[in-house]
Amino acid sequence: MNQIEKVMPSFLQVEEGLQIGDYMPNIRIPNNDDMELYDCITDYLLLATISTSCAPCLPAMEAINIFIQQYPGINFLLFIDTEESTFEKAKHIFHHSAQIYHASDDLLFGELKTRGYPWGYGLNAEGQIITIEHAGSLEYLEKLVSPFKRFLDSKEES
Amino acid sequence: MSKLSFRDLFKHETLEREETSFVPPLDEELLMESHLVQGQLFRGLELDDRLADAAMATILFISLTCTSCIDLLSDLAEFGARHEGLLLVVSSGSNEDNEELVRYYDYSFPVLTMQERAYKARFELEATPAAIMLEHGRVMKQFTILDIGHLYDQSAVRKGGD
Repeated sequence: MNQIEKVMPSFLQVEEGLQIGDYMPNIRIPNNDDMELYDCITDYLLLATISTSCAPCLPAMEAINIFIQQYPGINFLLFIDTEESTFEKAKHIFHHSAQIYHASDDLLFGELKTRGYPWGYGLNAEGQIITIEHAGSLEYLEKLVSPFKRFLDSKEES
Repeated sequence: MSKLSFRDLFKHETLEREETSFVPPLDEELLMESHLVQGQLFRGLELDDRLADAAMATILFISLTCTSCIDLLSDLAEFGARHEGLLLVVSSGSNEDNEELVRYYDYSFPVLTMQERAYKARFELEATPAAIMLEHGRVMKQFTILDIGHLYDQSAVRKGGD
């Protein structure tokens, strides 16, 4: 039998992602060489990854922008994969309180193990992953933040 | 400078790819129904000419960015071989990816291309992977697939070794 050796298509090669209970890698914050992810952790840290190459990231950005205003002072980092010029625009569009960072696809998929955009993690004070959610809507963002609510000020409650 | 919006951060093609590929339901009356009614005519009979008449048909919906779908793919060739009746897979992959998928796993059934957003809206699917089972073109069952064992159980297809 003329068996041709098959090469697994790249889209089938799924790297095992980070799971709840894992410790998030302490990545260097892009464009802030002296700052690492764990420097940003307070009692908790939420982080989300989005890309302008992904259409569902448009409603995700809108939801995240509302979300951070609903919880003033929330410790939420947003990593965006996009072109430099687009990132500059994004800084003007997001609410001034947004903590947004320009990140490469390699960093987001390779190091933060994003499994698809938009993606979100909730970390405890030790950097351990407590929640993992699709970050595409307010409903999902509420799930992401749910274990950390006691640390937050909410506009709705005030 | 006029006020920018989030939409301005996206290339037209990125959003257009999603928006123009959206296929609205064909039957406005069926659209009014928010829940599956067992026995209703399947809304996608045009996916394959054989669907309307097949005594039994299963349509699986997968996304190539969903890990539980990817996990399922390697078991589908055997499921397809054991499945009595017509089996179709609808995938969010590109035509090229879907053709590669069929070659790689030697699928005996076709893998059709449709955007995830389009098939979820049109067939009222909550999540992927999902299955719709038909008899003579009418919907008998519709569910999200938990794993390959669940698919076998729901479709009453006998697994190897059973």
